[in-house]
Amino acid sequence: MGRLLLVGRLIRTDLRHWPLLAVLFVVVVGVATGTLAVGMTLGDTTRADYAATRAATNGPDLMVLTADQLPAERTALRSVARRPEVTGQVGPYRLLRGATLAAHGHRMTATVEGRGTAPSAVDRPLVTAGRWLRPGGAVVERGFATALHLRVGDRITLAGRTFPVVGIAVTTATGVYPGAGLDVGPNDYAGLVWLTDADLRPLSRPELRPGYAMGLTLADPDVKAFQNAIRPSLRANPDVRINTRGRITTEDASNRLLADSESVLQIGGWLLAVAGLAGLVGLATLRTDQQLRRAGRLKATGATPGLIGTVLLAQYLLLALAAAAAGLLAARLAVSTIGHPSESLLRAPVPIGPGTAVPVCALALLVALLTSAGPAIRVARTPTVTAMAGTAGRELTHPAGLTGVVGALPVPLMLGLRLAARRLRRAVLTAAGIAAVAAVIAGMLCWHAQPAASAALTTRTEHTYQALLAITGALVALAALDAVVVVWSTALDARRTLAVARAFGATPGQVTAGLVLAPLPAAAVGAAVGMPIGLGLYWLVSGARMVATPPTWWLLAAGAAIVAGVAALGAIPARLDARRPVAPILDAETR
Amino acid sequence: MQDVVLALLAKEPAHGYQLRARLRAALGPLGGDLNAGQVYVTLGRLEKAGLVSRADPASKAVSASKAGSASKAGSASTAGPVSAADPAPKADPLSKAGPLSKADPASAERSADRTDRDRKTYALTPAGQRRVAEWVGEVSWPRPDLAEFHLKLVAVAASRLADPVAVIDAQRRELLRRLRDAQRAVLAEPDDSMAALLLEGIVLRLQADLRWLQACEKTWVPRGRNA
Amino acid sequence: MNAAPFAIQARSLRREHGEQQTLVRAVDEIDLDVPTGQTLAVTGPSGCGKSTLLHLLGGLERPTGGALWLAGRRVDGLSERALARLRRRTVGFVFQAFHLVEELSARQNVELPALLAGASPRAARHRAGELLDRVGLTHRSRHLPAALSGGERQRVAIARALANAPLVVLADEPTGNLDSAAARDVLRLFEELRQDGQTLVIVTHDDRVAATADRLVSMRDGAFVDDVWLAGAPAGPLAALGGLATGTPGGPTGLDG
Repeated sequence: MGRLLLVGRLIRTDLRHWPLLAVLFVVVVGVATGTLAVGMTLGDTTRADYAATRAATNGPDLMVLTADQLPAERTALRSVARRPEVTGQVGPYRLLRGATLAAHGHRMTATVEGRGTAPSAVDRPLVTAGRWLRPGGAVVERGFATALHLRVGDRITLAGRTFPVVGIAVTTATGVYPGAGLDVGPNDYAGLVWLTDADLRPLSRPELRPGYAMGLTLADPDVKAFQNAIRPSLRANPDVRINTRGRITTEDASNRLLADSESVLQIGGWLLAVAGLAGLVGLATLRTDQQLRRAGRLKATGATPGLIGTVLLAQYLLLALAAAAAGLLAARLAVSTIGHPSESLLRAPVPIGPGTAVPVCALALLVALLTSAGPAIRVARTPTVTAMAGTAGRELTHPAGLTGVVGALPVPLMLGLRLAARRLRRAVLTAAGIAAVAAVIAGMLCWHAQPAASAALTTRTEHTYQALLAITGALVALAALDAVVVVWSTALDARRTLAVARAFGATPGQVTAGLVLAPLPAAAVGAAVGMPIGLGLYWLVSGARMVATPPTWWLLAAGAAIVAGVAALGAIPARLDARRPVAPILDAETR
Repeated sequence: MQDVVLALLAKEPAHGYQLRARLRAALGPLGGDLNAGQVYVTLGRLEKAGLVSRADPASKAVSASKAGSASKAGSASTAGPVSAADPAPKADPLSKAGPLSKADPASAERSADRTDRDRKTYALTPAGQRRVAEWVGEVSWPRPDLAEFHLKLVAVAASRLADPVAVIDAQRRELLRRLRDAQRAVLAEPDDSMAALLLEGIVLRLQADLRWLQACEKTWVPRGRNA
Repeated sequence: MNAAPFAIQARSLRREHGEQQTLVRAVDEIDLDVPTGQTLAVTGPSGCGKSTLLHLLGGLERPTGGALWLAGRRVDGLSERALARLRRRTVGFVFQAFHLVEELSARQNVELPALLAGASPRAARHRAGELLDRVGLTHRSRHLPAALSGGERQRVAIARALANAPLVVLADEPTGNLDSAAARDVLRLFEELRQDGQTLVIVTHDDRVAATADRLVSMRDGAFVDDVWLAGAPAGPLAALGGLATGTPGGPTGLDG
């Protein structure tokens, strides 16, 4: 109990001494976990939205559509509807495809369904504004209406005739607007408008491909089996051209709207964690010296290495859990704003379930472990006396391999390379962080290198692009933080060496240049590794739909820009540190 | 011993027992065995040498202070057996008298000798004053006599003949010069030389003395300022 | 080497630490002339300001007042950069804690100042070889500081201080972290330097180290309290030091005899 109190007290003083580190840790890990959580939850939101909308509208399990309005087709539909597995039906009703809708000066393609004024049992579109159909009025599907900025009372011109908008409604009989690659019925990029059957008939022309549609609910949820069962009888008559579309297909289409964003965000979450790690480990190293001294004192008064390690690990785990909680909370908020990409569906609240929380917490804990393990082991292992003196032995047993060549280089470069060679782990982390940034930047470049789509950006690509943009922004911010922290910790770490160099005539300028140069080899390696990774990830996310790779010089320029950015940001702490007076540093080392 | 007694008289003429009391105060436990006889024998010798003169003051004034000092002397005589004998190369008869006087019981001394001697006050003659000034300026080494140097500082401070710190500095400079010679000699010897061992001993002794001088300085600097 | 008659001159040199309430005058109005070729020891109790004085003389700290000349050039107003450049040719430091760069070998440490001063790698290597030979560590030149003993490290540090043949070598408690045998090696080196006419300022609280200098100044509370010329003054026959002259066996000092 007393030990628990001690651990708690030490953690509290630690956090109070280094609020910046604690806050940064929570922010960085929070952003990474939040991104991952959003990525993992997005799929659930569209699924939940779809389920809610389907329940509210009694959505059909199967839509059956005809290619024409032949009597034989109508008869075939009726025979399908009479099968015993069918529990409910709407239609058959008339349908026009590819009608031109003009409103507010826009011209869009629309599918027009002719429905009754009374709500049907199956596919009873839920009116969210205005009221359901009345003669002479039109009801517009909500996703389509939102895209056209249509409100109840506005007037639309449909195939040459003008109708007032009397209502706005949602349905699950068709995919969400804009459709995500449907072959039949409400087509890609086509919106849905309902008219009374009486109003629809005069519009009918052969070029609008008139047909029948029917929605069915089935007793057996296995729609595939039903489709297979009816197919032979339908194919018997060559006049009958019928297509069926099951619930699953429609739902998948809705879900796919965010599929790319999902993968972008999930990958982004891990990339953010990788990039954040470099900075966090750097920061953790900064405090190690201070902690070493304290650990020495604690050990001298009887604390075990285990206790000291526990204090360190526990505080990072605590921070990690706080960060994961913050990330999940932020994800919840973010999901409720960006997780409902289409107005075509009702918004359903999405609880973030254990399926998301567990991997998110795992990510946070992983970062915490990687951040604290090194210092914790070092602090716990350092002999008490050395620790108290604060000159913990970082015994180097081999000369830096580069030194032979290095002698011939200008002083700043020599200092820089020697500083870089000191800490392999830091170099690896720096490279990893930069690689993460380079990867998303390569992804961005890839995006822009693709031939421009003929149509405007679809909702799907737009969401993906926004996700990519957000990840890029967050990663660049993290990388900037990394660059500052890494140089800062290098400066602290090499403070004595640099002070000695200055005592023997190195100018502050040379020292600054050395510090700035130190992380650049790692950054260059990171950029070189990250770019191809980014291209690969893009290829994966786009489902191998990558048409063009960005020109090599784009990639080279981006890589150079990243390295230059690291140098520019590193110059800030380097310059500050190089201005410190030398004497106190050398004095402090004596005592 | 002679020089010390002379220096103690430099401040003002004094009775023999007063001198003895001052010596005891300055020497602490080291002065425990210092008996009155030693002081008086020394005074007698100095008088013969013409360095000190004797005067008989009014007897009343003397008897008043006599009682106080007698009790002090009695309590101090129980101190340890450390010899306060003077090891200086100048052959001082008192150093030989030391063991003899130890045998004397304190009570006998008190009743017989003192009555007569204590009435007299002793003062420096001009020759005595010159001798004191010379002694203050002397720097004694290689036979460092801590007690003598210590008493010199006490006497010099009491009489204001010189700044004790200046005396310390002079001594220190001398020791440093010697240390420098010894140090150079050590460095010139090869590592395995036997002579280096002896030189090392000299260096260490000099260092010890210099350290003591530092301690003296620390004590005398604030006292000098207060005065 | 520079022909200036004085390696170092200081007038009313002052350095304060801390803010108004806790202001400490580490160096208080010091005047100092160090002729070229002189060896000077600065002694005093710890905290008397002697290390600060050394840092001021070497340009590692900036004075808060007064004037300072190095090799006849006024330096108290120089920029950090100009000071650094001046240090390369003028000053070599030896520290109590050695301050060798741990990831560089002994030879590379000695090369460092030469390379900083713009020497060619060849010349720096050659010079480092010479100096390591001079301090008797040629056989250790490829070792890292961690593999060297304290005395060896300090000898490497001295070689490093000499790399650019500086006008003055400034040493701060050079034997403070060494045992007596290692300290003797280091002092021997300083004695050789003195005989070669190298200007040398040693800050120490150890009289034995101080006694190797020609001149000794004592500091207390940031000011000089004594300035002794040790060189030349006859100290008496060496034999007398051992007590041989009087035939008395040498015991511990004090009330012996």
